Amino acid sequence: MKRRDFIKTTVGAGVGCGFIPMQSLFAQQAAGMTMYDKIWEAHEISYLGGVTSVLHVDRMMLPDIGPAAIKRLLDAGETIRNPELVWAVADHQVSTSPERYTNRSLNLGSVADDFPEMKEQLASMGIQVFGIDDPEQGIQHVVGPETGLTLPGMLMVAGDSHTCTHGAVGCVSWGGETAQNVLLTGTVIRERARNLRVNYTGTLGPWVRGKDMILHTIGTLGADAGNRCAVEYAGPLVRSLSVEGRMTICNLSIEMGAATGMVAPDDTTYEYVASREFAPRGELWDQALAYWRSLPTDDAAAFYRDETIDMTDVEPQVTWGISPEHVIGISERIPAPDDAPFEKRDAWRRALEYTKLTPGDTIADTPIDEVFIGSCAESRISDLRAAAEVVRGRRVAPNVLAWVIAGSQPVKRQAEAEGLDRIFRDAGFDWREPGCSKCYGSNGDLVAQGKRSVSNSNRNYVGRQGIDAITHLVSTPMAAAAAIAGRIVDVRRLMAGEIV
Amino acid sequence: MNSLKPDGLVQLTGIAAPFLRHDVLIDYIAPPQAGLHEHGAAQMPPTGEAANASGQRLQQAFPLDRYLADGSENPEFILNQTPWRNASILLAGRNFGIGGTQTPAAARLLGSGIRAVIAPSFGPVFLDDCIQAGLLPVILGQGQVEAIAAAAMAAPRRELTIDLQRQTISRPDIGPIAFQMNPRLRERFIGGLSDIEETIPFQREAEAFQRGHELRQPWIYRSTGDPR
Repeated sequence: MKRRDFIKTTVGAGVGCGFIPMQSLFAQQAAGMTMYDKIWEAHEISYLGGVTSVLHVDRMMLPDIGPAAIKRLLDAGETIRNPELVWAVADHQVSTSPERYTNRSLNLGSVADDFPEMKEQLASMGIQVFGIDDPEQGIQHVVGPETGLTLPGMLMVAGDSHTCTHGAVGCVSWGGETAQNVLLTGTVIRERARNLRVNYTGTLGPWVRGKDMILHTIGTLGADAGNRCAVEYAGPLVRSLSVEGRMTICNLSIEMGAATGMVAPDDTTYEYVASREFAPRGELWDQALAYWRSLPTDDAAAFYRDETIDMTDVEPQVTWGISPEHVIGISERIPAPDDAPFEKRDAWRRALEYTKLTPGDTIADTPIDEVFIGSCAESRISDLRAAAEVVRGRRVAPNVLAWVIAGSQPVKRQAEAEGLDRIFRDAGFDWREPGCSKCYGSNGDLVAQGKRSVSNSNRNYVGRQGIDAITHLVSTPMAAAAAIAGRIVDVRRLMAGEIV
Repeated sequence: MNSLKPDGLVQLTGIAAPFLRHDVLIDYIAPPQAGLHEHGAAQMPPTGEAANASGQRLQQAFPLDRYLADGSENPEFILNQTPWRNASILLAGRNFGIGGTQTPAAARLLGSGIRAVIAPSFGPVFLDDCIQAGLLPVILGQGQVEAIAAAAMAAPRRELTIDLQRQTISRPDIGPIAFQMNPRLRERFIGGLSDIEETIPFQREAEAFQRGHELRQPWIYRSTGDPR
């Protein structure tokens, strides 16, 4: 049966994951298509009925342990189907200590170190491997767009859930895939998501940025709003953001349960992509650009759900609980469980118990122990510049442990060329080597047990940053301001000289 | 990343444990900090019994509530109590496994003996994880889950049967309750299939597709970067 026939015959039948009726999913497609649907169909090898298809993969991205997976397959006599479409980078398990290059045992796993005998073999197969000595090494979701391995229109998959970050350049990207399947077949089997559009309107106040847009969105729509949805972020505010700002928004798509997040490519995107190491050049560039210009959602396309978020009067955001949806503006008070919708009261109670906060108190002035600036959410050069602007000429509060971790070696070099590292170091920050670090802690970088951390990363779950560690998610400048004040503060007031 | 091969599952009969808390986070099922402990262990390896005990704890779902601070079993935790410790089915609340983190939550539940979870709804990332790992997710209305849980509390040792062929759930004292599941996923669980077994039959189509794709979008394949 062809898809269009299926649409006519089975709308409303329990398809999807078998659990969610995919009402009128494809019904309006004839009138116009969304970017997600265009890219999906451009990669469709076989349509299996319902919403399931087998899709071709343009890029498979592997973390530190990727080469181990490849080695297991090769040792078993298997063949990697499209090795030239595979790349791996050392990020989750590598040390962020400056000594990691000389004391290699500090790295709990590094693509370059674990299988030195494989290095040539992988290279000869065409697999790009960025070890800690590579000048482009960094967090995979920083490295992909930065090197041009991620391009508009691609279908890009990985194991890591924040793979949705790459959608900021106008591609479709998701995590949760098994390396074995993608490496051996070059394909994935997936169910098509519903289209959800988030339109941003209004204006951004001073020191309000992409991170606040997405945190406010998750707080407004809920951490499950993206369930089985591909989210397209749209509207003039998104257009006005740099590609780096768009990456922050797309990065947190998974925090509202979305299958992926994306922003349609535009001239800002093409300018960003042009001349990246792995980006096409010459005639190929012209050919690619012509195709990319056909990707944005058609005016007539219909969305399963269309939401508008007005950013006017939205303050810098800060989380108070253990889900990114537990978020308020910096001048607001900590909510009480009874303020929650009935079904969430239990969760709010548990959240407040874990974060040791009292309903009715202001979130501002909560004393903190640690500050982490880094992660795939916000560790690009524009993020570090914003942090440095806050930190310049100030000092980290006594008893606060504050780290800055550039998202990649190129970001780190650029920051050092601009003297940002000096600003951070002079203020009392640790300036460390690129990696995932304290956002996840699988390299051993942890927030001390039971301590309170302000972090510009993307997850504030129980134990995410360390045992019993409490995480407040904020934007990068808000994290910098907290480090200076030693407590959660409004970066706007700090910069206005109202807070010492 | 793991190449876990799920077993086929036509019919599952076992003790069903009520665990009706709503909005249970993936991180609570399998905290990422369990991974941290593993890494901590890599630097300072525990020895002998301690190593085995800590390794075993890491393989269990809900370690934060299953164990006390000293590492011993928490007798208050339902899955440590008889007969629930032998449960192979979990009766769960709304949004079971919510949150976006990819921790090995489904694998940990399987490692704790749970083969199926019955809930009114699941977190989407966890649901994908279940399908990958071969942990059967069954969706029933909240009232139905609560009714089964009440029966399980009243007669804990009476076993529950999930029949994937007939798509029913039953107990000697509960008539068959029908549930919905998409045919592909049902076949996948019955056959114990993984992604790769589902995609391999499409290899020739995939190669043919790719020949056309290389012509349409050659820039994807002709990379300009320095080889590494």
